[in-house]
Amino acid sequence: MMNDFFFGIKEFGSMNTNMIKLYFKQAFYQLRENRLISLVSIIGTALAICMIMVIVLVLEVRITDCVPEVNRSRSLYMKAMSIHQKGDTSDRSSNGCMSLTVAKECFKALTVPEAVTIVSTGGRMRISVPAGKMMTVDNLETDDTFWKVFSFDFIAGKPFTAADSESGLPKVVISASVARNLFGTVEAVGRTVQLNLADYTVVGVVKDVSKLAVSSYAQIWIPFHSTEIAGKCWYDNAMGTFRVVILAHSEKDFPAIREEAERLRQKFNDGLQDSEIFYRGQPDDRFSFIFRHWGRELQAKEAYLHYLLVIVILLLVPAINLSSMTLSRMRKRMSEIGVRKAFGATANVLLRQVFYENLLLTLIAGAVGMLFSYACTFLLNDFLFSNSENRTQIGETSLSADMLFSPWIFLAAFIFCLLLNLLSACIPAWRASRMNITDALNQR
Amino acid sequence: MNKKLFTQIKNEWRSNLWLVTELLLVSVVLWYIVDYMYVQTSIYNEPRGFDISHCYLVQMGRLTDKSPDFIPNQTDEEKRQDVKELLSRLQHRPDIEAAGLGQNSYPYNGSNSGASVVYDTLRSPGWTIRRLVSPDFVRVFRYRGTRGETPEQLAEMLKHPKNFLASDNLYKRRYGCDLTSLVDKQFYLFGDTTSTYNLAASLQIVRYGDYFEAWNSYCMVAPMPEGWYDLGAELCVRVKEDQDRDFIARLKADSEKLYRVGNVFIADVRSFTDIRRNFQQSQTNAWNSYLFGMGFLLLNIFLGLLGTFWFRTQQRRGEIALMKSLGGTDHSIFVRQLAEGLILLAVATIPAIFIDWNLANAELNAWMDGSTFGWIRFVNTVLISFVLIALMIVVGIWIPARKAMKVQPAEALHDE
Repeated sequence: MMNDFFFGIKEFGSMNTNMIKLYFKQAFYQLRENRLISLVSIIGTALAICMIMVIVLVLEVRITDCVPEVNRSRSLYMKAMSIHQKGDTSDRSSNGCMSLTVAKECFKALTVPEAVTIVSTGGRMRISVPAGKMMTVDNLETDDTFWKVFSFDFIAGKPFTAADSESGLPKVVISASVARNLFGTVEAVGRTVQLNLADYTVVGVVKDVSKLAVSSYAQIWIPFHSTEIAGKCWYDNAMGTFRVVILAHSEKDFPAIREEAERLRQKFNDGLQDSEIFYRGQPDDRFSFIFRHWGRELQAKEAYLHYLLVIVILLLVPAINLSSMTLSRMRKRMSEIGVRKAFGATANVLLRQVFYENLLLTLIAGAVGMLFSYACTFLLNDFLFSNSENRTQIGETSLSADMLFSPWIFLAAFIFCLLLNLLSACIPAWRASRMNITDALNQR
Repeated sequence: MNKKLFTQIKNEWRSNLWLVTELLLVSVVLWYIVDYMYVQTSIYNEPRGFDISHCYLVQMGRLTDKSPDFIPNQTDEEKRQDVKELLSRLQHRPDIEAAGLGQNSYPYNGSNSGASVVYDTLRSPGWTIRRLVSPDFVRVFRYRGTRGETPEQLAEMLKHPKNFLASDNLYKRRYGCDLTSLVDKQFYLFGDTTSTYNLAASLQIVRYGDYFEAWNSYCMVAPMPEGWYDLGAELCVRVKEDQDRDFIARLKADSEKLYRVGNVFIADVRSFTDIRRNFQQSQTNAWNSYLFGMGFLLLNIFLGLLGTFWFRTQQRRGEIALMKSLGGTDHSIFVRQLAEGLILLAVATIPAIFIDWNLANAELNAWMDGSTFGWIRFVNTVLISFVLIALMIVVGIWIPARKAMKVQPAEALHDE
């Protein structure tokens, strides 16, 4: 008993350096000795980490800030609205984007947020140089605050101003690739282009935007008053073709903004004769925004649950595999464990050893899985990042390094590795620590 | 021999328990995925009731006062005439077979309008889609009648403003009656009880999309009123069978010369293959995700079996050698290992079926025919997932079993 105690203390004392080193050494030796099993364990674990990290990466790219949508975390979104007859209790409603009237009276009039921008749903336009090249581009029609809410890299020129926007002057900001295609250079400021056969002056050239920036992506941006889009409205002038992005001073203002938006909504409804507009819980924060389908109540809870379930399955299945294999491996080392126990290794020490040995494996596998997941984001770009919103758009879903290599991603990967390790080493470690010395030595 | 196998399985219950747990978990999740794919495939293969091959959507634009060619002060009538003229010019284009206009009408359209179709006390479901179209629209998408009416005959019927068409199933679920029996009867449409419309033909069910079931897709087709011939209408064309190549480029190239009518011009042309892909992106994504999930599960089964049986072969070296020296053939040793794996799967499948059945009854899986459970479907999906896992087991055991077969009895028994 005494002996046991001292041995335990000693092992614990040198734990930090020598023992861990020894465990890792031993684990490494084990891995090398049983090549096929090691390979099987590593591939299984790596696959799980890869699949989980692909899910995390895709979510990250869609949720966290990236140029030009650098303020996603303090933005609120109105993707769609609904309208029905006053007092209608059936679920019959008209759903879609809002008209300029609603956008202005119910959102632009908000006082709590820092800025509110009105953006068209986007479409295609024909752009050409008089007696020159012609191409089809994705366009957005918006206002001057757009350039405040989103942060574009201007290569040349500057955005259109509030005055341009208000009077609908034919001014256009184009992306670098459009400029190069039409003029052979990005120095296009001041030149004239024809948009759907109307003359526009180029006021700015911006760096190309990835289609992953769903709220701001386009290839050309023009003031919405410069076309007749504002006139496209129906159902008591409430429905139309616009969306709204609200930029709050900080996330803390969200409740206040929602409250104010609700007040404005009621005021607007008071002015309507028979119908009333409603938002189904919008304006949305970023997470809700990507799961919002127009015309339906938001199912954020289901989305969370869905992710949770998928990740649990992705962790559990390989964890069972790993557990089973670790157990088999331990059975082969029974005599070793018996000897260690006989010489006074405590249950705690053995528990730790199994954890560390297993951790080495999960970490190797984690690194491999991480590499796989990066490969996947590039190879499966189309499948992972296209959705019915950006499918028709012409540009590219390019990924930038700062989206993919954020420290959060590595932390997440490490946490999932630890989780997997915990799940898979738990039972084998417990069994090792509980093993009877005589049984172990007799290989029973 | 068989009794011995069972005894052996029992004796190794600890490591077998792991395998069975894994097989059980995977069986359930895999069944869920197989069920989803089974349902989606069945739905996908139902007849669509329309044909989008060789079809294109022509988007119209109108000049604004910022354009030098803008014709100011047009009356609404003049604006409508421009659209009609463009339609007619496209209809006369040599490579175009048919061209029609519609309002929220083309297939794979996210925008819908509803309509009520009322006969006597029979009323169509709330989500009956209203398709207001010009007569040739049905020729573009090749709609067909239940009594064999060709698209051309249907188009002829739509020339009369008081005629309409409706898919055969409008009253099926609620009243059990096909619309074919009500052809040439008078109906009330759009909630208007002051005038009646004549059901000219009953349509073979036009589905809402590839992943929407026929029984749940309701639509009616009526002639588009004069006032709707506008820029907002959808201009759809079907080109002749051999004219698909570069059609978009050719039409765009001709658009300024031939198809600028008054203030109306062709802004963009898109193929329906493209529109369909876009409309179905989320389903395609879901399908792909499930496919990856399935691959992941099967691979894990493969790896798990491979690992476990690898250990077993090592452990049972002596035993296998003994069996061999007592006349066991390679074949019998392989079959024995395989039988062990499959028995474990069978053991796991029994509770798995119970869980699957409960999932289906809790309506947590995919819907088909208005239900989440059907006997044929359930048996099929359980069988498919069983076979898939069994295949993985065979492959997983193959490698260690081959190693076992190579055991040299003399050498292995030397230790004993």
